Amino acid sequence: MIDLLVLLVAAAPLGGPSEARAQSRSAVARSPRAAPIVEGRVSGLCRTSVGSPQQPGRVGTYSATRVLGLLFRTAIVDPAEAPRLRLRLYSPDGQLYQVLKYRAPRAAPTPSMRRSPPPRALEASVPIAGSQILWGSLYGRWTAVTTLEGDSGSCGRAVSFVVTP
Amino acid sequence: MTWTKAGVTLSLAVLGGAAAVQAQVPEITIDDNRIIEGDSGLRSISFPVTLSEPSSQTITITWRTPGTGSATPDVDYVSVTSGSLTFAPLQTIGVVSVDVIGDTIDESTAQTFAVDIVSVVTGNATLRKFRAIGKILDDDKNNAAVFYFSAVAEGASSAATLVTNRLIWRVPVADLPPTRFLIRWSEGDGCTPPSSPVATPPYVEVVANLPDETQVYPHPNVVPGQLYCYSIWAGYPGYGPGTSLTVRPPLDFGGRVKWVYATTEGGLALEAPTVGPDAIYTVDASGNLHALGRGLDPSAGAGLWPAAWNPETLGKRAHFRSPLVPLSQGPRLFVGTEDGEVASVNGLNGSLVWNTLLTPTPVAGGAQAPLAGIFKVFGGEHDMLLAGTAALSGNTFRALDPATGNPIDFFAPGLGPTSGMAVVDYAAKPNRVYFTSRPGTALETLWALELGPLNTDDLTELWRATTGASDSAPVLRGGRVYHGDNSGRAYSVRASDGGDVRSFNTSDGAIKGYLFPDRWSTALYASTTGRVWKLVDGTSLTSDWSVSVPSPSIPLLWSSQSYLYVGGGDGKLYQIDPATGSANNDVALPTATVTPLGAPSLDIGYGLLLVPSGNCIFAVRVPY
Repeated sequence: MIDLLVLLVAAAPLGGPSEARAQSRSAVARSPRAAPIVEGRVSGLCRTSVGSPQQPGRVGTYSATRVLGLLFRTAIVDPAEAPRLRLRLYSPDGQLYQVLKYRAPRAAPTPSMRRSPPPRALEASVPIAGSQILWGSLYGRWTAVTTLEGDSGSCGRAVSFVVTP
Repeated sequence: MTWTKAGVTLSLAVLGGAAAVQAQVPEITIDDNRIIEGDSGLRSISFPVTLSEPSSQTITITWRTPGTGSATPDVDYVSVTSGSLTFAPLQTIGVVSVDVIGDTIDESTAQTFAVDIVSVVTGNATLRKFRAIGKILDDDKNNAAVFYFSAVAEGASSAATLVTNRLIWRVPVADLPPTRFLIRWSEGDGCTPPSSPVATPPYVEVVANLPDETQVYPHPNVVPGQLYCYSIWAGYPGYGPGTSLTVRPPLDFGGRVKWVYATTEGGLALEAPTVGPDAIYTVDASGNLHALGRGLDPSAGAGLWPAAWNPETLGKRAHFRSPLVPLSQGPRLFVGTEDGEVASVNGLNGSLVWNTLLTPTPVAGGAQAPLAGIFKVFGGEHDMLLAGTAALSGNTFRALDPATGNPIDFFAPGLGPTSGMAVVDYAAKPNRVYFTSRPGTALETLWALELGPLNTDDLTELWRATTGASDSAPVLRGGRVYHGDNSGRAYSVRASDGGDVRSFNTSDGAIKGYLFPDRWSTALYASTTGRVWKLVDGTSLTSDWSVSVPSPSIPLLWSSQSYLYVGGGDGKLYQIDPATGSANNDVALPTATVTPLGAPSLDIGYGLLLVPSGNCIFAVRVPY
């Protein structure tokens, strides 16, 4: 008996060009005290904004004893880069405080967004209540830089905000 | 002979030689494989093809490379449009091969291509796995970077005494494990780590250990007080991305600073270390758990990463205290991360025992409260881990089984977010737990729950009090619960019923972390935005003294030695006389830049204060 089995196979991506592109940007040696913004290497791949659900009307200044945390939202120009984004937070004296992974937002996109697909949005939340920001009096102007994984260069403009007591 | 429909197990027996063959329809699988690319010519990569069962028939398949993957057909490998493979009767293993084309181009990453079984042209067989992935490993550059790159620098009392910087790192697990490491450095204030992996002096090459092992290079004869900027690259044989580290071996008059641990992973985030029986533990900004040997002398292993410790990456930053609890099966670290996970880690080797997610998770909320625990081995009536959640709404206070992480009970009467560690009352029967919160739909912010009764693991409300909104932890002393709120007011509340509320307002911003109680007196110590306070709880809560310290850390009282220690935002460690508040005996820790100091921990066994600062932990001999 002869069985002839014909397979109709959809080609699955096996590490597409976006992966290769991201890895080719792997940084050379980096100093943990590197300046928070690397001039001349802003690629414009993303747009980052910051806000807090506890102070929705306020932009740019947040009280550490009132807000619970801050929510960073990054719109991605090139969705293929999205899984590799990191948020690097620098304290008022310019030192690295935290490195966070961006994650897909919980809310699904609204139907109106489907007509013209927007840049993909990712979120990262930074706790403030009960954190070292409170216990270390790390008040002042902070800087947030969104980068590709393993790269110290920003993928968009840095965002600054002020944390007050 | 019996048979049924194709694809279903048959009882057909076919005699082949001495063995009886069960005539199930064989399933075909093709397996993945990898190959090192090479610099020129062709190398053959083979893909095993197996039949799940021997067959009495001759089975022939056809296969091809469909062009899928990151490798380019006929540039990186020789494409195959139509190949065939034949299995003789009873043969179960065969091989198909593809030629890979070598080059000297740095492709930066491994390349992949697919091999598909297209059809079964003779015999009766079905496909279980029709696609194999071939991975071409680029040997023109190693893409693996070292991680946990850290250094333990010895302290000295004189610049004339040369010391050793012990560089520590983990050997990366990679497609091509590194065979060697290149370490370069520069020195002196303002130095920058070398940026390229060229063997230009000063440098050293180190033969690689096995992947995932800790490796140490002792850099001898370094000058105390001088800044050293290191870079390291892993090579097979070409070098991948570098990792850099800056460390200043402590030069401290009197030799008070015994050693400093510096790591690439820290950021401004190394937390107050937890002192365990054999090791010191801390967590960095990226959620990596670090373990260091205890003691005074780095040459004897103090501050070095224990050889048996396998670092656990929690994935998110943890909290300012990670309790270490010896259970019958060995030391356990219970760590809560800021995104709501709770992890149990083996304190002996760093392996993850379990992790679980508390709900609701704190998306855009506060830091998930650190874990408290009650344990029968310590005289408790229960074995429980206890923590509240810090979400925008729907918060709960939860009890978990420390052995498994499974939920035991929860409490949710409209709680606000809880960011501070709870405190357990072993003396009260039934046992109790106290914790603070911000207001929720319930306006109260200080809570007392009963655990039990005995042998019944329940959380039952005992009382609640409306004190100030708090992100800090309560403490228990002498039948009273103490906590500070976010407006700077300290509270003293009767533990039995939540009555007799006393308070004192510092008017200097939030009280940080917790009030540190003196167990031998009525005093408590607190830090606010710019001051350190001594409070006394007699018939009322009052201030005995306060002293100005720039951005003070949570204080630590060494009551038997009558010293209070506070890390300052100016990079100085303050040793304060608890009787007078005199803070003139401070020491500037030799950080690379002026870096705020975090809350210190005390290793009483060695008389060492462990002070986190940026990406460093300093071991300071106290008192001084």
